[in-house]
Amino acid sequence: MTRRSWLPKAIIGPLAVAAGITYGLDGGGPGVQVARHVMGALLQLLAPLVAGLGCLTAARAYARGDRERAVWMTGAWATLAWAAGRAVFTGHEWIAGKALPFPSLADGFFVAFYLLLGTALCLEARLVWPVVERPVRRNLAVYGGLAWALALSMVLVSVAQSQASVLEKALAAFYPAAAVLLVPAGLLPAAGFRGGTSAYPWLAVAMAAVCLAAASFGFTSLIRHGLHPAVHRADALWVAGFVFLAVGGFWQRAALEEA
Amino acid sequence: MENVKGYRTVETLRIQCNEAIQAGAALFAGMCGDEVDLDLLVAYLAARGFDGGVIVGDQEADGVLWFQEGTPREVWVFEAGDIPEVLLNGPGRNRLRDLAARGGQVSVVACEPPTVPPEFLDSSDEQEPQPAVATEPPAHPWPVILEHVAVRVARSRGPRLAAQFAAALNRALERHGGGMDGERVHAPQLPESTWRVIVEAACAPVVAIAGRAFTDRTIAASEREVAGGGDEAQSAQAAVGTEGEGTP
Repeated sequence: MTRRSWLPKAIIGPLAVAAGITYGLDGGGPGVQVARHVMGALLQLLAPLVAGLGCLTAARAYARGDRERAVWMTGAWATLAWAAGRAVFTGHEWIAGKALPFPSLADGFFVAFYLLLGTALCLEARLVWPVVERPVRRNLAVYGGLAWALALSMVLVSVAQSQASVLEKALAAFYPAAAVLLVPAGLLPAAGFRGGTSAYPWLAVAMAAVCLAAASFGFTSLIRHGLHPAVHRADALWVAGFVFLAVGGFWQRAALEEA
Repeated sequence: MENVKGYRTVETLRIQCNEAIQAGAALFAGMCGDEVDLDLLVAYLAARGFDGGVIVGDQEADGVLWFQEGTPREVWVFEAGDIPEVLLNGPGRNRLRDLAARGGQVSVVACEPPTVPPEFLDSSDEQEPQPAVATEPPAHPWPVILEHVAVRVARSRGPRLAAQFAAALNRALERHGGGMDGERVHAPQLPESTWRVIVEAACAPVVAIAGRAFTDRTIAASEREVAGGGDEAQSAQAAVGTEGEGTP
């Protein structure tokens, strides 16, 4: 087994196990709750950093100036933005003593994450657009449009009735709606490279988008009902999303090296 | 007389290859044809320098695609009681797909390719591998197209895959007295069917990584670029910063 083949497993494996323990177990005394809170915050910070490492690993498989390198580098910057947002969010929680720092400066980084990841996927979609058959493109566009409209309407219906500020409502609508749009954008390259090993990393990226969309829905839903605790099982979806993103990046590199 | 001898040599080789494949050790046998992606299987075997054959057969016919050092060669289709029908790789593979789609079973058999029997060679000079002679004009300017394909693969899939493509192309060309000199492809005049085999062998690593659709569209886009004025068209595209439909 080469160093490069076990390194991703050695990084992602413990992260997944720690997430399973943190978000899978219930109960325990106050000490256990504090430990879970710390572990949860740590995982939410580490997961995007690992995803960024995966994106960086994939980007380094390409030469400077290659389009694919730009795609993965933009993805790496996106994850870095999310990690920065999580650091600010946790800082507000722990240092400023806010139970739920939403909206806050952290949301600026989270919005940047979605915009950068969307840009990366748009760059990739532009690359593979010509090699995807017209019916597949049409189906993905229709699916993307319907899912986006459904997600937006669901969120809008719920946030419109709340007493939240306009910014809060806008952010609550933006996160899930943006994440849903990333799913077909991730599936398009998978369709373009189908039959080749490059398709699988993009399926992992599409899965990451599914997890992030579900996590966004969970987050906004919990906030709306005033149920957002320090650690909730729905938070595991954020970690899962970034783990899938990391898997996509590492897999892309491995696929190119096995050529 | 030479033509008759040459013909017999080719026929004997086909028979020997088929016998070797039929008697070889099956790596996989009896796979359900409609569940096997034949293109992916061929690309996989080609990327690993496979020697042997892929057999697709049902109760009415058997089709054999044989590989030599990873290069997919001819396809022979054996209908009941008939002389084998010999097809080139492209149309032959379509025939195998048809056989697979109608319920045929797929087997992969590894075997050593037989050597040329000495009684079919008249002199020591003929023991040297002879480059193919063009009996039909190539329909495309393949050397230039393949140079463009290499550039496009490097640009959108990275230098590693482009290096694999170049290595596979070089190996395929060497058998016909050609090769690559840096980024330039040089080859003697070859028939279109030989170029098809070379292109297939060169693109095998690209198919394995990026899939058949990407590879076919890349070749098609390169063809259009060459047909549309080559470097001038490329410069014009670079100047406006846009690329047309079908340009990976």
